[in-house]
Amino acid sequence: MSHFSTIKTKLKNKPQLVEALEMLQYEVKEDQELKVTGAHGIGHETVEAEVAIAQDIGFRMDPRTGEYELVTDLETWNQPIPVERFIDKVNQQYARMTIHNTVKDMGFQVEEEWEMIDGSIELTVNRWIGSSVD
Amino acid sequence: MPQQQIKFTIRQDGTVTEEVFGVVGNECENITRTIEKKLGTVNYTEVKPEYYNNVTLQHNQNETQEQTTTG
Repeated sequence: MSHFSTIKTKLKNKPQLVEALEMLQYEVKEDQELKVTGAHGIGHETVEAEVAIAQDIGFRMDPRTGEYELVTDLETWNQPIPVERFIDKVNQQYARMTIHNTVKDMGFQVEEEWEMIDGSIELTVNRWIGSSVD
Repeated sequence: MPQQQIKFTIRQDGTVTEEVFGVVGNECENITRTIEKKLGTVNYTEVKPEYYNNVTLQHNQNETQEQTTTG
């Protein structure tokens, strides 16, 4: 063992964000105009979102940070899980997809993947030095 | 032929812990830098003693029980 890091995931890559949302069983639409529903929506502005999973839930990129951020109306949030938990799940799935795609390109193969009791995912990948892949 | 292994723990909030086995020195950082770049911000990195080992001492790792060099 020679290296041990802790990394905070940031949503920077649109295709991987879409992939992560689809893995979480959301139907993803791109470049949508989000609308606020319900009576209190009157007079609210609409919001452009590059990635949307509902009429009033989506993600748009913050040009200052280059990161995608959730845009939604917390008053009409009707998902089965709280919004904080939703963001966590998206981050976790995004990290998982990013790792899978990256290590595959580097010639690693997945040895095992487990979902642990605490909800974390353990993923072990291998590659042999001297094989034809880099 | 030695084996390189990376073990990722992806916590519920998307924070990733990464441990690299079977790689010494700078090569280790090269392998994971790509992943870290794509994922986000590295909060913490601990360099294990093996970092300073010569490549030929790779077989002496005592923490990795699965570190066989057959195959």
